[in-house]
Amino acid sequence: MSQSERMNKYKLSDSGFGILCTVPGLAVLLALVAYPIGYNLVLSFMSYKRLVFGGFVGFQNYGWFFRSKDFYLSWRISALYSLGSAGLAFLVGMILAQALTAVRRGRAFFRTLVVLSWAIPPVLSGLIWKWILNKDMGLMNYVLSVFSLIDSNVAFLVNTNLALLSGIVATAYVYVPFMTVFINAGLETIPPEFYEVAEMEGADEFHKFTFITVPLNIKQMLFSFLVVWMFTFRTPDVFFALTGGGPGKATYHAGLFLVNLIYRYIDFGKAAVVSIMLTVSVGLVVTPLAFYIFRRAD
Amino acid sequence: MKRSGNVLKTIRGALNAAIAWKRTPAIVLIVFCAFLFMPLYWTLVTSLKTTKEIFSWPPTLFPKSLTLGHYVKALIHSPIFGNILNSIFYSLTATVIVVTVAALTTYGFSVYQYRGSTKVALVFLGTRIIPPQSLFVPFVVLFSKLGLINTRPAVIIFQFVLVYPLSIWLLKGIFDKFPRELVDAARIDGASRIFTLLKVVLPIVAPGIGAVAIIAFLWTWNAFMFPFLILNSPQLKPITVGIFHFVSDRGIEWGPMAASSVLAIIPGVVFFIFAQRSIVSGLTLGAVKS
Repeated sequence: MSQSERMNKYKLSDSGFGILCTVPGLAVLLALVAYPIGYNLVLSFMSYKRLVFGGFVGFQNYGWFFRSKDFYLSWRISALYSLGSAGLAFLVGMILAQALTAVRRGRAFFRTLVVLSWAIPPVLSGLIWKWILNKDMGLMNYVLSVFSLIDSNVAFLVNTNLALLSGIVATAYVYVPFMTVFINAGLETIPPEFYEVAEMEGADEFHKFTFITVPLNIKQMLFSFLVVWMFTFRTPDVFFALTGGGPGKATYHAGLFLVNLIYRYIDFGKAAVVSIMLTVSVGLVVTPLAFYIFRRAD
Repeated sequence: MKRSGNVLKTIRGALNAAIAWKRTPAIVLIVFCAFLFMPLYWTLVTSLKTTKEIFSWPPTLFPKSLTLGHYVKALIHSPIFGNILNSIFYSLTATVIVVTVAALTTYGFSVYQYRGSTKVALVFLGTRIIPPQSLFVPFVVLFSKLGLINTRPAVIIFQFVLVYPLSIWLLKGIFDKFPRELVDAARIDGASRIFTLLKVVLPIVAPGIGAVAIIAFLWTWNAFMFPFLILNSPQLKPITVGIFHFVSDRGIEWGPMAASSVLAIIPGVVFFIFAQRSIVSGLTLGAVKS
């Protein structure tokens, strides 16, 4: 065997290099995800309260979970909240995306204004809106009273329904930029000729929207709605700052239920069950829809 | 029956005319942007008002007198300044680690394809179907066993798990578009694969990687719940957690809170004003191109 042949034998092929680049990162990531998930599964069958290890308890934690009123309550609130937030952000994002594609002047300026609220961490949006919605000094009450829409100041965060609605507004506020940007990116791939031809055939704005804009953009629309739904179903940051789950338990988001078990009750066995159920709930909705969207893409 | 049909037709016609009017998009944008900008403006104005003016009714849309007192209080008489430095540290460290590792990974499977390499990005992304919240419990328990509770590495490790897969997904869109001929040319000239990455590929995809880095930075900057759960010491907290310094049983100190909020939002606002186009294209590339 000559020198160069021996060298070649040890030389990495292109695909070998590709694998070498992928494997370490993937291994680390899977270790950091799979091991904790497995560990969590084991924890869910244990009693592990206030850092005192109480051994295996079988399905006791699961039994507790499905009998717990907080489960039904918090899952219902998370569902309402996530659908409301994603829906509102979607509606506003859709309108803004259409307006941005159609506007003639100052597009760059408007685009920057539209995305600015993206810079706000959701938990801060909760605090900022808590200030805006304040009963005694808040901007919202002031604006409503200036337009004579209310007789006396409204305690937004004390009323059960208004508190949930406030959370939805504070959340949609930070996700509108995401929605606008994704829907707008989709809109820009639609050739303008489509609309011109449709106009020549006598189509009005509604026809153009339902027969061109929506069908050609459905993937981006579904994708952005799904992402925001997923984020909001599981993330309680806004309510943590805005209402702390109150009044009573009117905004007791599933994520708050989990965080309370970890932080306040320090009951890791039960918290493990809640986190598993959170994964299952999100996975059951997202997985089939994600497959549908990616299949449609090919 | 016929009449109601006519009414509907008239309404539809009127709406059509309104939508098709050439000034409609601009008016819609002005109205919505005013709404979207209001909370930012209100926070800024609140941070500059005197405490007395903040707590007065009716609220003043334009402050009567300006003061930097709340900024002084936040930055000098509270841990907020340290919290901001922490946020910068966490975000920068996580971004550098994630983007370096993710760029190498993506370069590998995107340019040097092997069986299944087109599906690898989906495997990475798939780990993100698991909500970060579901990892709280095991990470808290495991970190406490490793003595990592209330430490900086704990925040960064957790953030790595969240941002690494997303960065790969975003980088894939960039590397997949890279002209294969350039890589082949460099390789034929005898350049190693790593040299090709550093001297041929990276200079060309740098703007895209910059955008991904900004996105990774902001993701870490926005992180709240996990740092909140594992950090006790005020001197370790990022700004999103540290800002609750002004929230107590006796109420909220709105002035310093607003000042801290402004400081916490500035990096994101600056990034979005100056690099908005590349951030947006970096984010939407993977989702839109096909």
